[in-house]
Amino acid sequence: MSEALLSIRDVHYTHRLSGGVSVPALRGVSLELQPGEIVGIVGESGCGKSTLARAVMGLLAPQKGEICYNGINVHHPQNMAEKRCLQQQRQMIFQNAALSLDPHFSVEEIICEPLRLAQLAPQQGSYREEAAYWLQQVGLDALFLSRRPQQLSGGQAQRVAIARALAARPRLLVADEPIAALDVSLQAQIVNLLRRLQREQGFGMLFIAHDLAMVRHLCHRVAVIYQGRLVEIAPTAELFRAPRHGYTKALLSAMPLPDPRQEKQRQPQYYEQPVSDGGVWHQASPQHYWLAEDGEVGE
Amino acid sequence: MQPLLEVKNLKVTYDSASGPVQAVRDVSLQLQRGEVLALVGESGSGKSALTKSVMRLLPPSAAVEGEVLLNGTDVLHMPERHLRELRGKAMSMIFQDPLEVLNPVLTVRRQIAEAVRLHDPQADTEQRVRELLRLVEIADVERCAASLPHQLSGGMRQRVVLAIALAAQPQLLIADEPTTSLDVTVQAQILDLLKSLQERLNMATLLISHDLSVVARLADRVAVMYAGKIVEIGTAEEIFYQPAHPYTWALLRSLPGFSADEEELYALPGIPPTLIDPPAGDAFAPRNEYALAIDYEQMPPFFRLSETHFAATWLQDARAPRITPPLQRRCGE
Ligand SMILES: Nc1ncnc2c1ncn2[C@@H]1O[C@H](COP(=O)(O)OP(=O)(O)OP(=O)(O)O)[C@@H](O)[C@H]1O
Ligand SMILES: Nc1ncnc2c1ncn2[C@@H]1O[C@H](COP(=O)(O)OP(=O)(O)O)[C@@H](O)[C@H]1O
Ligand SMILES: [Mg+2]
Ligand SMILES: [Mg+2]
Repeated sequence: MSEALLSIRDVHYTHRLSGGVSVPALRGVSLELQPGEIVGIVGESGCGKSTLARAVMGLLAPQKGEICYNGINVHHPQNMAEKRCLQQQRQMIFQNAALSLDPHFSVEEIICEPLRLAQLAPQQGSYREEAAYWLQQVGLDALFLSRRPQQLSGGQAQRVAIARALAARPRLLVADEPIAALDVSLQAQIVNLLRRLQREQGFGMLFIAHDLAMVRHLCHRVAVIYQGRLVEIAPTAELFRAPRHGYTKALLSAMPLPDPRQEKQRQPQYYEQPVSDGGVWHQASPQHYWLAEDGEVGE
Repeated sequence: MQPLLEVKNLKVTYDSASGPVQAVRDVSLQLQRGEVLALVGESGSGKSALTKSVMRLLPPSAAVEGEVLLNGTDVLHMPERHLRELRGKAMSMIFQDPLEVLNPVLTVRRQIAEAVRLHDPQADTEQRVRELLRLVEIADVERCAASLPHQLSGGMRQRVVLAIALAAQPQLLIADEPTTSLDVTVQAQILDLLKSLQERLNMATLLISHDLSVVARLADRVAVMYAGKIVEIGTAEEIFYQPAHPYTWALLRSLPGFSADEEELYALPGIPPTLIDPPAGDAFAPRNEYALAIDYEQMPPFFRLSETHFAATWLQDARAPRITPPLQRRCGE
């Protein structure tokens, strides 16, 4: 197997709050992303997806475990060259993009900032043209170049964040629910764009999402997180065909339908069992793994 | 019957460096008690601007024209001092991410009690908190009340947020993408809860969502917006099974098929108008493969397709060619 683009090894993270409150968010997650691979991450709200994304970007430091990008420890780069490499080659689209954009900058400045930081020359002539080009790619008119984030609708701010991340020509893209705030036609446009760019440029991507139909359309493999633990990972088609973990099964049975008569009658399954810190990994097929509780018999 | 909410010829215009942005362009709608109306449509089409006008939450850079009546009372010209009452008692809003609304270091009991006290300083808060938690169908009320937000599952947290929103017994609930951050197993439960609350409390709900399956599950009626206007409005069944506006067709066409392994998803070509200086005719015309010559000159009026179903497209004119909607997978079949 080729060297992983991203390797996440047994990562534990607990948010520590005032008053001695601690919130366990990740409880031993391991995962590898190969170059050019898109891995989808799904799971219930609060299961730790955004925490994992932020850890991969080095925005929070796990109490235990290690995350390496191209062999570089993202929390302890050894020298300036490694530091620069991390900064230039990884980009993130935040879940709440509107809040991640600096209100003091114009859209043009926001999109070009990573390029300028990395001292990359614009491919479209000038920085302004580069920004306009990426705006158009995400379905926004060049008139938006001079707007500020607070003058954008939710979906427009989201697209500016997407444009910014893509303009930086990343090798690793971490996208935390990048399309949930967009109308379905734009969702399709952005997914088509991500897929095309990913094929042309071969970057790797962690795609965090709730929309299982989109995950199925875009991702090569899917990782399922439940209560801070990875509980199943498999190639996309295989996961949708033969889910093993109880939570995955419930999730897939619950795929909603854009159809009022059917949807108003559908009774989805619900899964509520706690997942322990123990458990045994089972291999269902060469790339398909799932976590069984101790004593639970592997089928 | 007097509608709970009536919006008449609403116009919202934001000031911006490149000119006035016409975010809402002459929108009218009515909402009855006990009804869920979903607003769907293009990103940037004015959905949030519309709900912000109803809540009186627009920034000073926005100018508003038209009328918003709640129970017949003019909302747009209501004096500032009545606004708190309006936002608390008359209407309440729930947002996307429960984690952003809840304070991570306060127990659920304290957070709901605060909301209760804010609206009714005389209330027996302990009892109201328990009532509210039961109302949102939380089984172990005592344990939930004593928990911190993170000790609850995602679905439980959204129930707590709902309990807070219901503390003041609002007549109108505005839900801007209420389940976007929930996984699909929990989403259906929360939507069903919303539905039953809305029936029991005889509230009305204005739901904004891009997720058409959420809309399918919850909405009685659906309004589709494009470029600051409602382009089609009807019952959920009319919009999903007999869509009449080409923009609605495009939305339904963009959904990824559940089994089909199509290479490229359908997306509307072109980019939406900026709403600075919108064109004279139908703003959708340049992206509409079925546009007629008249679309570029004259805004289409609403054509009445049934008692409840209206579409603003010249395709409904008697002189227009008959078009079969381009939907690969007809819903309901
Ligand atoms: N403060 C502002 N100044 C100038 N223009 C604004 C401002 N806020 C919103 N707009 C513009 O008004 C239009 C309507 O915005 P609105 O937020 O209502 O859209 P929306 O339908 O809620 O979209 P989304 O689905 O993306 O949230 C958009 O074109 C947006 O760019
Ligand atoms: N900044 C924070 N402070 C405290 N707790 C947090 C913070 N961010 C996340 N958490 C907690 O960590 C857990 C995982 O959250 P998150 O990673 O945001 O989940 P997801 O993205 O899957 O919805 C949750 O229990 C959440 O309450
Ligand atoms: Mg998240
Ligand atoms: Mg909005």
